[in-house]
Amino acid sequence: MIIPVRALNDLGIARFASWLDIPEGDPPKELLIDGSVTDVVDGGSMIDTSREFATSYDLGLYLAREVFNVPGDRLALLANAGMWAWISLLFIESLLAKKKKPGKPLAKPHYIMQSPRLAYRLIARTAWDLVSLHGESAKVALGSSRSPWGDMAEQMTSRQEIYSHRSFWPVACALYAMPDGSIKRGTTTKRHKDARRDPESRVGLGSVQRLPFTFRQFERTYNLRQMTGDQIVALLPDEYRKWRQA
Amino acid sequence: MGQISRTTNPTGLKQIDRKHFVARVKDDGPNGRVFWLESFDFESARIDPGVRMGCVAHAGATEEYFDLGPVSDFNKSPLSLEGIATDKPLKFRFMFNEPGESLLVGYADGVRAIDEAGNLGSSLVDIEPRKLDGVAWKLVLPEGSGTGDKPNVLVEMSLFPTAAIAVSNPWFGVLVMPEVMRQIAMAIAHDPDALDDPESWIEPWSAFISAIGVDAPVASDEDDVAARQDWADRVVERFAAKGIYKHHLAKAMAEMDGAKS
Repeated sequence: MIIPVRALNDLGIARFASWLDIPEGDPPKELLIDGSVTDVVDGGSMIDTSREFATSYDLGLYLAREVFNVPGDRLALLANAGMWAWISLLFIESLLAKKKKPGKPLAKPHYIMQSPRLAYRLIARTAWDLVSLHGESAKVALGSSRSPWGDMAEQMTSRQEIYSHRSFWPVACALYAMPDGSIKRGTTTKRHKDARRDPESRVGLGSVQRLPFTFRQFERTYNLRQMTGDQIVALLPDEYRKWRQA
Repeated sequence: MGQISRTTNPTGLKQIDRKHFVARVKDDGPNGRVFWLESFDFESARIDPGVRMGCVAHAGATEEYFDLGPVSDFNKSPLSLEGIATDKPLKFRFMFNEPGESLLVGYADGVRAIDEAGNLGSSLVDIEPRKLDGVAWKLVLPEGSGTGDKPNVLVEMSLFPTAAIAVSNPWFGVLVMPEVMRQIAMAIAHDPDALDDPESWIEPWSAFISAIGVDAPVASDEDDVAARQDWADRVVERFAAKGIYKHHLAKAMAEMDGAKS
C-alpha cells in the first residue's frame, strides 16, 4: 500500500519506545496511521508500506531514490525525529537483529533519535543520508545481510570527520568491499594499545579504524577532494597493501 | 605518484597562519546561511599568485568543498552553506595547490568566520555563541575520536554575542570554566589511554595536564566513579590556581563590591 509519509508525535514515539523496551508481542504498527499519534509530513512524499529490505543499504537506496527523491532541505529531513521514528516502525521487520537474538530490536537509538550525539545510529535516517551523499559506496558500511547495524556501520558513521567526506567512501569501498557486497575479513579489527606499542605487531594495521587517521595525514599533503578513489588508493602506505591486493 | 608514510612531510608544504584569512558568515534569510572569504593575504602567506585555493566548510558530520580559484583572484561571492549543520561549530580548512596538481603547497586548518570566532587564538576548547533556548551554556565533547576536534562550549548568544565577550567576562571565567574543566577531566579519566593515543581528541590534553602539575589518571575499574571524580577535582583545583582564573576571580569579586567591570 502506498501512503503519505507521516511522523510520530511525542506520544507515538513514547509508545514505540515502550515496545522497544519490552518487545513482547507484535510491534505497535497500529500507530502508523493513528491520527492521534501521527501527523502527515509536509512535502508530499509517499512510501510503500509493503517493502522489506535485506540490508540497510537497500533501505537507504529505496528512501533516497523513491521516497525523498526530490531535492529538498537535507538538514530539515535529518532533524525530523518523529518521521524517522515512524519510518523505523514501518520497516521494523527489516531493522531487527538477525544473528544474536533474532527478531528482537537492537538498542533504542537505532530506531528513535534520543540525542544528537547518537543520531548517526538511527538506521533508516543514516542509511538514507549515506546513500544520498555517497551512492553505492555507502554499501561498504550498510551492505551487511547479517545485521542491520554492524561494526562497519558503527565505525564508518561515528567519526564525523569522514561521515560526509566524499573522497573517503570510494576508497573504503575499494579497500574493504567484496564483490558480493560483504566486507573482507579483518576490516573492523582494532589496533589496541599493546599493538601500537609493539613495532612488530601488524594487528589492525590498514583496518577501517586506521583509515580516517591516514586520510587526515594525507589531507595535509594532498587535495584529496580533487583526486579519484583509484589515485588515493595507489597513494596509501604499506599497511594497506594487503587490502589493495585482497 | 609515489608513496609517503603518514609521519613524514617530504613535500615541505606550509601551514598557513589563520590570521591571513578573513572569512565571513551571514544568515541570508530565504537563501539560508552563506559564507564568503573576504580577504586572504597571499603575499604575507608567501603563496604564489597563480596557486589555486580550495576550501572545506565543515560542522559536525556535515561538510562541503568549494574551489575558490587562484589566490590572486579568488571567488569572493557568497557560497551556500545550506547542507552544513547549524548546531555545530563551523570551521574552514583552506588548501592550496598548483594548477593541475593535487599535491598541496600549503593549508590552514580550523579557520573560523570572524563573526563567530571572536579573538580566541589557539586554545584547547572552542567557544561558540548559539541560540540555546534559555540555557546559558553547555559543553559539547567531540564525537568520535578525531584529533582535529576540541571540546566546544556553546554559550547563549543573547548573553555572549561573541566568543571574545565570553572569554573576557569574569563570571564566565569563574563560574563556567571550572565546570567545563571538570567535565573534560572526567572524560579523560574515563579513557586515560587516550592521552597517548594520537588518534584521539584527548591526546592534546596530555601536555596541559602535565603543565598544571597533575599526574595522568590511572586506568580504573569501569565502576570506580569516585576515583575519576577525585582526579577531576585535582585537575579543577590546579586549573583554578592559574593566573587567568585568579584574575577573573578578582574582577568578579571587585564587581560584587560595586566596581564596574
